[in-house]
Parts: sequence; structure tokens; C-alpha cells
Amino acid sequence: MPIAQLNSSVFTDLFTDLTLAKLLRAAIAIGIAYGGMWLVEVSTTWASEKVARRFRMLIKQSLPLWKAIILITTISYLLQQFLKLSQTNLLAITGTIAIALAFALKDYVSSIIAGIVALFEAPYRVGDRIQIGDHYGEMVGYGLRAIQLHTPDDNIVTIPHNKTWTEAIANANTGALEAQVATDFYFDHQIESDIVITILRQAAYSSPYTQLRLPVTVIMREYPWGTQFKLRCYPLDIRDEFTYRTDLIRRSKQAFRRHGLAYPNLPAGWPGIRGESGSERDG
Amino acid sequence: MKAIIGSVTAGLGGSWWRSLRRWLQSSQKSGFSDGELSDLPAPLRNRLQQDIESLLAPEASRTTICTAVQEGLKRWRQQPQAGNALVILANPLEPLDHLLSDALSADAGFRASDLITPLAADQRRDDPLTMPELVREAFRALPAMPSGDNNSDKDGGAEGGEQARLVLIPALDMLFLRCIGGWESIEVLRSELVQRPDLFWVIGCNRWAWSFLDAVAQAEACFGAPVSLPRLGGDDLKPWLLSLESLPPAVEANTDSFDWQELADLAKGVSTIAARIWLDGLRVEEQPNGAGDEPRLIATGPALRSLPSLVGIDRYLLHAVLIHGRISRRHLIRCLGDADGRVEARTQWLLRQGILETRGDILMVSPLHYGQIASDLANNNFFVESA
Repeated sequence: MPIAQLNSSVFTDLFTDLTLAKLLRAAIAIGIAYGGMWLVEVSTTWASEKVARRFRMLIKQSLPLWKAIILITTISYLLQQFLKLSQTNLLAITGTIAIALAFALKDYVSSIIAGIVALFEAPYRVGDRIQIGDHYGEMVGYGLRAIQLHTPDDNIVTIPHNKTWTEAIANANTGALEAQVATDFYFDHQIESDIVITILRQAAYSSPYTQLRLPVTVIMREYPWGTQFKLRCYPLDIRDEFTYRTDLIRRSKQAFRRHGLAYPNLPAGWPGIRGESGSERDG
Repeated sequence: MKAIIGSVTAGLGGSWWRSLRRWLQSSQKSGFSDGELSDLPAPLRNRLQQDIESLLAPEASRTTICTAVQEGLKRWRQQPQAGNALVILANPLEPLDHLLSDALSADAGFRASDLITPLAADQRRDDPLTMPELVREAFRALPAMPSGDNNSDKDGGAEGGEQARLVLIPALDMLFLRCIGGWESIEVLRSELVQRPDLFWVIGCNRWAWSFLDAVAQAEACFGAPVSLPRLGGDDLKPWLLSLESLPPAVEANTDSFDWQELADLAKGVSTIAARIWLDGLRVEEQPNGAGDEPRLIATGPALRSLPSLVGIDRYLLHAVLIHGRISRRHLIRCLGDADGRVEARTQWLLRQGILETRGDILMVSPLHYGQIASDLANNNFFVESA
């Protein structure tokens, strides 16, 4: 059998007849899907900011699900329109697509698959505060290929899903409204540490941003140049993280001044101090 | 069938269902259209407001207090180690100090001289850091502890009228401020309780303050499990409000058609809130040709005023007011911090909207908005009143 005739036979076995009506329907379906995705994104964002806080995360987290439903429905419709979906054809299509993707669209498909896996594993969800590599912020978008982070500097950072294969992801709140905020304070070795601990605990309890249902703890660490006190507590809403930390520092410093507590006296040229975590979120 | 409807409405959200039902029924309740009724004249409204404030608390609340105090005293006499304090919780808008003195003096049989009240209900000092000293000073004036066996002379009290042994702290919430060092006076009180097992302490506190103090100072572990005032029903509120002496007789004409239970639900069973909602719904019926001397008052509603949209800082501000029950502007600013003047500005806005009210310099939440504010704060992840 001549090659041209063979190709023509495969084509007719695999694909349905191409008509203008089908093309029009496909275009309309893609248009509706695109519009639907946009509408879902806009409406979930709008609704999540209008409702009470406790429903915000729930609404935001539903975004990928709605997008997946729209996407799967549209793809199924298009396949059904243009392909003869017999068992043999499915195998042939899958093989062809696999080869094509392996060479041309490897990273893109890797991201899409990682996005689907992430839907089930949930290392991050819309509304979470996450850190991937050097980027920290609130996750505001969950796309087919990538997620979007809103950083404290008001930048939108787009990170492909396939980073989850190789990068560590730090999620501060995993779907909850609260997430721990750690604030460091440093003092001279000679100060009365009980007073500092009491002040720090009371600073957390007196801050209007504190979630009182969650624990407040103070831990200490010794350095050659002084003592570090780390206050760990939770704001009512992790979005207030930086305002909260500022409020804690402001309150504490007022009380430290009242008690005349001495800060460490570092020699000139001493290198900068980094907290124990090594990845401070500075706002 | 009723159970099914009940579960469906609960699923829809009880308050939505009640709002819908209220809206559907509102036009039928009074039987008057808006055109026939006008607002209460200010002098009459003020007179009614004053009379409500001077009313004895509803019987159910007074009975709860008396029973709790008598049982607490009995338990203390039988088992001194069971604790010498009784905490009574009420809504932040409830005048618990009046309620406690009404109940203890008018109903429980304690003479005014039997009750020791070392701290008045309005003694939050300008500088909260000096409050522990105020409390220590007040406790120095308590009668000295009898020498010898501390527990041998506990037979005084209500029935006997012998030696006074009951100390009343009418408002625990006035002894603290949410700032660093602001609740040390609670610790002073706690140590005084331990040092004076010969006295029985009755402590009033607002529920929001209690939740806060329990979180930061383990109040329940120190003072024992509190007793809450009962949630009043329509049957409690009707005779209480209709006992007002200044009420024109015409009001009684529509008391049967007025939904008292709805009033109790809207007020969350709190007498002060119910009284304000009821007063807010009173209208004067227009007299044809100006006939008649006495205005005919008609109770409409009951209905809450709608709550304007709040922004983030409003919620922190309202939460601070509710935790303290009543608070001055200066203390409020100290609680929240106000480097950029936003707290002052939002306080003014909340006052203009009628969400906050003032008495002199003291701020409090309006009873007409309390229910909606409490729900809004709970929905926004705030730490709200204890149940």
C-alpha cells in the first residue's frame, strides 16, 4: 500500500469529518471555557474578599477545582467532536502525544501534571502563605501551568507547578487563617530574663491581632554577644503578619524602655545577625 | 415534618430564616402602616429610657444570682477547699453591678451592711499600671481575718444576718486593660482570695472579658467555673417591660399581637438589649383631628437596625470595647495603639453610625447592633464571649 494512502486511511480512522459547524462549535466551546475560567477566577476572588474571614479560605481553595472541571469538560467535548474514540485510536493518540510531548513540550506538560498532582497532595492552596525558593507571599492564583504569589513588596511572582518536583515548599498556614509569626528580640547577657519573657508574653496577649485560642511561647537562645528571645504567636489573620509583628515590637519596646532593659553591645564591624531559621520573612 | 423543616432552616442558617420570616410578618404585626405612626417625642423617649434603667432586673436573672450565691455559700461552708469565690457572667451591655446588688439586697436577704464592696464598678484608673495598687489599697480596708481557726466562723450570711462575710466585686472587667501589665490586678485579686479563705467572694464579669482573662490569666482555674445569667424568653420580658410606670395604658392594647419571643431572640435573651429594641420600635399613633391628651403608643417590630459595612480596624476596635464592656477613649487608644490617628477617626465614624454610644467619655456598643456585631466578629475569627 502506498504511504500516502496509508496516512489517509489512519487519518480517516482516527479523526471525524471536519466541518465548518464543528469548527464553529469548537471555537465557541473554547471561548466559553476561557470566559468561564476568567469568570470563576474573578468571582471567587471577589466573593472571598466579601465574605467573613472564616469562609475566605474555603472559597479561595475551590478555585482550582472549578478550573479543573471547566478544563476537563471542554477537552472531553473537543475530543468527542474531532476524534473517533475507539480503544485502538486511544492507544494510537496516547502514543503520538507522548512522543510529541517528550521532545517539544516536556516542561509545559511536566508543570500541568505537577499541577494536577498538587491538587491532590495539596502542598499549597489558594490563600496560603508559602515560600518556594527565595519567593514568599500569599498564593493568589492557581493556573494550569503555574501558581501566582503576591509578595509583601506587592509583586506578583509566577512559579511553574513543576518546581514541586525539585524545590522544598514551606507553607505557613496550610489552609488555615492563622499561621505562626516568630519575632526575635536580642538583649545583653545581664538582663533579668523572666522580665523579658513576661513582657513578651503580655505583648502577644495584649495585641488586638493575636489569636488567643492558639499558644503563645517564648524561647531563648544564647550567643556570645547576647541572648536571643524568640516570641512565637499567631495573628487572627495571617494577612496581618507584618502589621502584627510591628505591633508586637512596638508594645514590647515600650515596656523594655520602662524596665530599662539593655540591648546587646556589639563591637564595631560585627556581622549582621540572622535568626535561627536562616530564612527570615522580612516583609 | 416539623423536625425536617427545622433541620432545613438550621442548614440554611437560623438567622437568615428568622430575618426572612420577620420581613414577611413585619407588616402584619402592628396592623398599622408607616403613615399612621410617627417616632416617639424625645422627652417621652428619655423618660422611658430612664425608667427602664431604674427597673429592677427581670426576676429570672435575680433568681439565678440568688440561687447561685446561696448554693455557693452552702458549698463553701461544707467544703472550704471547694473554693471561696463565685463568678457570675453577663453580657457586656448588662449593668451587672446593679443586677448583683438588686439580687443580693432585695432578694437574697443580704443587708447593704452585710455586703462588702471594696471596689466600685467604675474604677478603671487612667494609668492601668496603677490598678494593682488600687486593688491592694481597697483590700487593706477589708475586715481583719478572725484569729484562730479560719473556718470556725462561717455561719453568717443571708439567713442569719450575722457577721458580714460576703465580698462583692461587681465588675471584674473594670480591673484590667488589655495592655502590657494591664491585668496584674487580677493576679492581686487571685492572691487575696487565697489569703482570705474566711470571706466568700461574689465576682461579676462580662462574658467577653471572662473569655479573655481565662486565656491570658487562667481565670477559670483561679476563680472556679462561672455561672451565666439565663437567656431570657418572651415570657420573662413581657411582664418586665410592661411594669414600666411611665408607660401610657394605650401600649397594652397591642401587647398580645407583639411578638415577645421574637424580641427575646433578637436580643439574645439579654434584658438591656431587649429593652432598647422594644423602645426603638415604639411609635406614636396619629390622633385624628388632634383628639385625646395622652399619646397612643404602639409597639412595632421588633427589628434590629442594619449594621453598616465594617472595615478591618472597626472590628478590632469593637472587639476591644466589648472585652472591656465600657472603656474610655484614652484607654481604647492605649489598647490598640494609635500612631496615625486611625482609631480616633474610626471611633468617630462608629459613633456617627450609632454602632458605638457614649456616656460622658465612656464608650460602649449600642444594644441595637450588639447581635450583629457579635456574629460578625465570630465569623471573622475573633475570640468572642464564652458560652
